[in-house]
Amino acid sequence: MTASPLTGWLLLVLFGIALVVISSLVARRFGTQDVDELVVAGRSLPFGLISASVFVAWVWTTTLLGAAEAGFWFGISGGLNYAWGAAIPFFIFIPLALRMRRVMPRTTTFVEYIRERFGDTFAKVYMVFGILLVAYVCVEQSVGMAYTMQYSFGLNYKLMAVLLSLMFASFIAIAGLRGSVYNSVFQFMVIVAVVFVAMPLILSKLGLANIYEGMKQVATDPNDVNHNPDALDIFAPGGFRYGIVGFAVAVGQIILSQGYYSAALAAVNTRTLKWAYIIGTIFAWMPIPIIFGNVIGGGALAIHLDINAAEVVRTGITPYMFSKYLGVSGLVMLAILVLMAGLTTGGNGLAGLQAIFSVDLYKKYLRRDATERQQTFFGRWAVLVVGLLIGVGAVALEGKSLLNIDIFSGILFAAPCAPLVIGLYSKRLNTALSAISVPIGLVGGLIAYFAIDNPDWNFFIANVISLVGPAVVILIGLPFIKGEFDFTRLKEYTSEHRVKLHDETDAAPAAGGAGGE
Amino acid sequence: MTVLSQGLFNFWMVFPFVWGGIGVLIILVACIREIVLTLRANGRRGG
Repeated sequence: MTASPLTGWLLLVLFGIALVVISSLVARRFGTQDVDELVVAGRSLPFGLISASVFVAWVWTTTLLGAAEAGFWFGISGGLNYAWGAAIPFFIFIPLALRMRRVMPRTTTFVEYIRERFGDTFAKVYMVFGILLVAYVCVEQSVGMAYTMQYSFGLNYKLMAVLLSLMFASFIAIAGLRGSVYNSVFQFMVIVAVVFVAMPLILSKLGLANIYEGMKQVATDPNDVNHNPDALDIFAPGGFRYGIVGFAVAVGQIILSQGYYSAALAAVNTRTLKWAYIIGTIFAWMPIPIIFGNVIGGGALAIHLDINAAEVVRTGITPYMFSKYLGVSGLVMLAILVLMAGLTTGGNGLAGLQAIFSVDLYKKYLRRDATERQQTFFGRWAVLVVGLLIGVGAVALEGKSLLNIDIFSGILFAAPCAPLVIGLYSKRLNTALSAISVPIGLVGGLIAYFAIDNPDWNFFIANVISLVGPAVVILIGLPFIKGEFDFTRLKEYTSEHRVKLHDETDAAPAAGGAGGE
Repeated sequence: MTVLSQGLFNFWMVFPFVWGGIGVLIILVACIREIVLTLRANGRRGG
């Protein structure tokens, strides 16, 4: 079952126009010639806009489709484990962002912090990590959106991959982070409207009692096609392990993503930052994967869905359930959801990349004497070029499994987190110890992945080693380090572009409290 | 094998909607208020 291609094009044109119009209005109202205005919205955004932006940036296409599959594979614990695994990393990020604002109030990117804290070579390495992470995240979103447009409306995958990538690149190029945030409010409303209409409808059609009885049979009947004794165990060990892997993967995806730092630095004050992230993630975001895991994953178990059936293999569990219970309108609703999720996550990633391109790459390495106007010009065009490259990357991945990319990206992006986090708190951590810790975590993770034969455990152990290994190396090495880093250097750091702080606590002079340990 | 009771199961299926509804409502009210304030400030600037 597919909806008409005309409906797909209509959706694209309507949302495309809405997003570009919002961005253009924002750019006209606020201007985007200053670097700080373009990449951190002048550091003046209020609570609601930041929390809506954080919510939509963390709703990935996989939040909807992946959580539903987790519900199918792990039963009632699947959605919950997906949710906590992806939400808890924000409780590392929130104190990290607060600390960064306090010890280095005039920073714009995490690469600037790394450069001041660990030196230029380290900054270049982290810049590459930051760029690769955004590329990976954005390509995944483009692949998810293009597939959805293909199976929902029969539209050409390649064309969709390029068009949609250019779409989210264009609204970032037009109005930078502020444009992305205002677009987020619109996308937030659309996502919420669809989730809170479609999901209760599917739930009511399935019936609570029917889902329970169906899942009970899955748990108790060894002959059931999806037999899983833990289907109704909310504390199932397999599901918990899945949550830990999700946590290890998500830590890197958040801590190395400039988009989240940009949103955190854009908050008008630290109180706004803290509450916007808490409400956006714990209160608003966390229930979404739980709902998808429970209703779609649990519902698919309850109807004893055969995962190998041709129709399910073609589309996946979520589209199958949406079209089975809501018909063509269900497919349209799901397409809207996936489009909004993909566009916002891609937009957030590119807004972060625009900051790295304008502040770090162009000004520091390509053109030292660049004016702010030249920096913003470069940031805009670089984002458009990257948008095109992301589309090409998504085209190249047509028909290929993303599983291996996911596995290696988890190992790759978890390893550099420990020096970044510990370096904000510890005076003793130096560049040499940091430089040793990252390769140890990375190589240890890869060795674990290839050496362990059990496919249920190798991914899990590899990710944990990659995340925890560098932290352990640093904590063991710290007592043997003689010198201390002077945190006042970060406090007194002045950016090469104009920075206006609105928060009195951020602007306080460097005295006492800024130091670590 | 642990099997959730029907009552707890029903609660766990419905509760995330209430939980998410509260979070979404807080953000929605804040966003509308902030956008209205921005538009008013814009109007004053224009006049």
